[in-house]
Amino acid sequence: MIEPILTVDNLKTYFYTRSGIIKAVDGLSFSVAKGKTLSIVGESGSGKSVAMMSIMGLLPQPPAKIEGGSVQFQGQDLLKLTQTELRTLRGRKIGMIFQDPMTSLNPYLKISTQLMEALTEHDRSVSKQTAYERALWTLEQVGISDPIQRINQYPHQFSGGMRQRVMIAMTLMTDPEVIIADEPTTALDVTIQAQILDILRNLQVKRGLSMILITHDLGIVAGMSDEVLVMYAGRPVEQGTVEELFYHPHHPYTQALLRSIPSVMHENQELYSIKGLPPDPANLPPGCPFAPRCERVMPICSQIPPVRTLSPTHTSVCHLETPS
Amino acid sequence: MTQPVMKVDQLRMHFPLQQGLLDRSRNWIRAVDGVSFSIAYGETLGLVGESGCGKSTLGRTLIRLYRPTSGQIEICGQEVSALEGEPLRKARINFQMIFQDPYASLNPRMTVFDSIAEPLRTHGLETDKQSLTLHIESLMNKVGLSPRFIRKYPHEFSGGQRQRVAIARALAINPKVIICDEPISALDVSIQAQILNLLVTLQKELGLSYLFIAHDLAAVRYISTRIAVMYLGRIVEIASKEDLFSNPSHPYTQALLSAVPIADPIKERARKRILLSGELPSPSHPPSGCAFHTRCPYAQPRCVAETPVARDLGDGHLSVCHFGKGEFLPR
Amino acid sequence: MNNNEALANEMGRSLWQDALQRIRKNKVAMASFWYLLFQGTVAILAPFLTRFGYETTDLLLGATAPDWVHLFGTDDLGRDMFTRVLYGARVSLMVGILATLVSVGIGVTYGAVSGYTGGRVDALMMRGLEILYAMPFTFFVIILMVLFGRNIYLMFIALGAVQWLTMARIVRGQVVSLKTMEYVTAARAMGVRNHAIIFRHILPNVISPVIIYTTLTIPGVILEEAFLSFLGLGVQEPMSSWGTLIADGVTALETYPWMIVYPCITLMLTLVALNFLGDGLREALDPKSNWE
Repeated sequence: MIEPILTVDNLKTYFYTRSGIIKAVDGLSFSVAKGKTLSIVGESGSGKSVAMMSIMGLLPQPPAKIEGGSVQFQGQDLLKLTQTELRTLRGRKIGMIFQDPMTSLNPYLKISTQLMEALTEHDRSVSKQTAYERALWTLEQVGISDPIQRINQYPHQFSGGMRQRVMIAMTLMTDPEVIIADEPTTALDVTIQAQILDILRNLQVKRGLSMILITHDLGIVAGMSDEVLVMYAGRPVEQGTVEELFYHPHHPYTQALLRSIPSVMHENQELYSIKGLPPDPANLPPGCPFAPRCERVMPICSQIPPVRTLSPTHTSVCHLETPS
Repeated sequence: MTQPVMKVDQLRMHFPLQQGLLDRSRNWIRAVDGVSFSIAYGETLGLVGESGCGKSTLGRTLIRLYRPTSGQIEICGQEVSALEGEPLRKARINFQMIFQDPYASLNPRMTVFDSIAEPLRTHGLETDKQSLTLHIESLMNKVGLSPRFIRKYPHEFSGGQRQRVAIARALAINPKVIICDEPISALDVSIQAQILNLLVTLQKELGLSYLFIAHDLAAVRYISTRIAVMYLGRIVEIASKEDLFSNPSHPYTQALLSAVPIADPIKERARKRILLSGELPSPSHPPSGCAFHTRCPYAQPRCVAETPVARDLGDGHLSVCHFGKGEFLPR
Repeated sequence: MNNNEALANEMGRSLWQDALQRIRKNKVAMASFWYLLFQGTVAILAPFLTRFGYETTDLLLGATAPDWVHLFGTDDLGRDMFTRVLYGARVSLMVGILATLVSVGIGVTYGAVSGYTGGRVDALMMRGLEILYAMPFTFFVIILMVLFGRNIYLMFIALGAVQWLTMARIVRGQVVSLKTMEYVTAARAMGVRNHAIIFRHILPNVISPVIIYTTLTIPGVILEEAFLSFLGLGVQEPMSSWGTLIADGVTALETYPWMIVYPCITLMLTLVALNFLGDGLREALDPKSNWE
């Protein structure tokens, strides 16, 4: 078995608000192996982004508070580091790509300045010349043609897809081990999305990067990941290899999700739709949070469901014994 | 052949590009540049394309938020492209719109009751308060909202519920055509399916026709009868959905279909993608000849020089390309 | 609950009815409202609440500290301060209310028309506004006084006429951004008439900034009136306003401190009440606010 590079264990992030405690992430555990991609799937409010922000120490505290758990990376617990220590790690060893490339670049600075800063920020000994050359090289890596000219332009001179390439180039400046990509293509068109995903895939193969991909698009999950984690209302519901999840889903939520997306590949007779609405995060039902919407709900579902191990790589948090 | 509910002919919508106070040499953004199609009663025409292709502008021109630069729009046999003022207001009773973002399309200071009552009041269909309430309650039931919520404000609802309110508002005056501008793209996956199913049910029940604008090809495939593909202000291919998906003819349609990820790991990894190079050209300076030639993997010298005309592939399948099947050569 | 009530509940009350219900639950806002009402009543009934005249001097008495005869003391001319504060409220409240009404009336209309019409009309109306802005305020008031003679009502108009400029700008800015909101587009697509769009969709959403700015305007004009009076352009002796009383009090700060304390306290209480009421109104009119 391959050594995991990042291991999250029983992470709990709560928000203390006027309307009560919101358990945004409640008992999340996973690990990412070197050179592999883990996808985290969930609807908005499922806690997938909050989990990543907790790992990176980017959540404003208060109102957020990390109530427990550990994040092991290169022999350190990230949750125990000070903000300064975390800052040196963030961006250097762990890169992040966000959904909206429009707001993650400073409109007043040239691309070259922003790229070079990503490196010199972490390592002051790097000469300007080296940083500039590395910036050119990363731009080439993400498929920007004519980088010598493009590097001197401002963000507004780039289209959405091009900006996302620049963002990827920026994370590559410091040669990170792990990239966390939070909905990296949601704001982009399908043909541009295909280009960006292609770049990410190639980089991963070439550089042995590990990646955590946060997305709601099951098509992207199918094409990009080795392992998948499904989240619902702040809790993990099912985890396994991509084949296990797509071909042998156990948890009723995973099954319902897979049935409720229309496909381009074949004619859909009638689309399955999950009844009801995602629960109010401040008033979660006791026991399994999916129970009120579940078609196979049983009386026992009002108690906390057990973690079932279905294979060495496949777990599901559900009272059901056998999948249908 | 029966009369179509909506017939659009050579529609153009150009916007002036503001230059400066003294510079009078105007440039135009050709957002919609010669679009023709028709929608039959009870049919759904899906309109797909990437952002900036003009599909939203087309929707807004059809709903007459803009006055088209040229061309005809016929809705229920009435020519509406040049109407203004009171006649236009009266004509609106036949066509309504559902917007993309249900967080923005409902007035935050109006209750569900007021929002749904607005089109009725506007068109003078308001009766006494009691029957108005009954009517609104039945509309709420129809779109799957409990009438208990009649007094609530939009912020008290989730995205999917708001979109149901917006749908009820569009249905209130019994329109014949509803233009749906990306009605599900702002919603969560599990809610998208609910709204798609609702739209299908309502169509069957009320005999509605939809123009369904979206970038999500899978959703369009699910809901549409026919599909039109738009690129840079023009329709490049239009066909029944079976034809379009099994036998896409235009290189752009082919690339678009191949780019959509599918939720099946083995098939998804085995798939051959047509990766388009470059990005969408600016609609203020569209490329000469075929607008797609700058990104087309099969572009030939002819494509730069000559504007292609629609070629009929049978059964109403039109493709605007110089080449047909088997005639594509790598550039 | 009888049938009528049940029906009324189902009908859906308007935003205004909802707001009324909400503000009634806001204790601070209601207390402020009652205080202001009390202040206004007292000002109107001033002649019946005191046995002194605001202009009656008593040079033999001179300045005395507060006692049971003169609740707020007397000034250096022996005039009863309680009486002068009561009469001062008449002028100050009137300035506050009238000037603000003028400013809201003109400002909201001008701003809404300019913003909603857009294009050339908007540009023209905004340039006009800038020209008025460039005019020095005191100069403007002096011209008015010279042309029409000194008149207290004219001063209200002059003050209001200056205040509406900022109001118009604020409203225009709001309207321009509201105009592009999708629910306004949705209303246009539905065929809703222009005036209905303005009254149903735009104005209710401009209310918050208007209220905030109004609660700032009232104290502003009350103080400006004091400034004008100080220049000899506003209220003239022996008539008083809170502004002139405070101005007088400042000069006697070290010798007769009560001359500044009481007018200051009344003015402050009024301004605080105005702010709380404004805050309460803004919250009550926002369906999103949590008023429980």
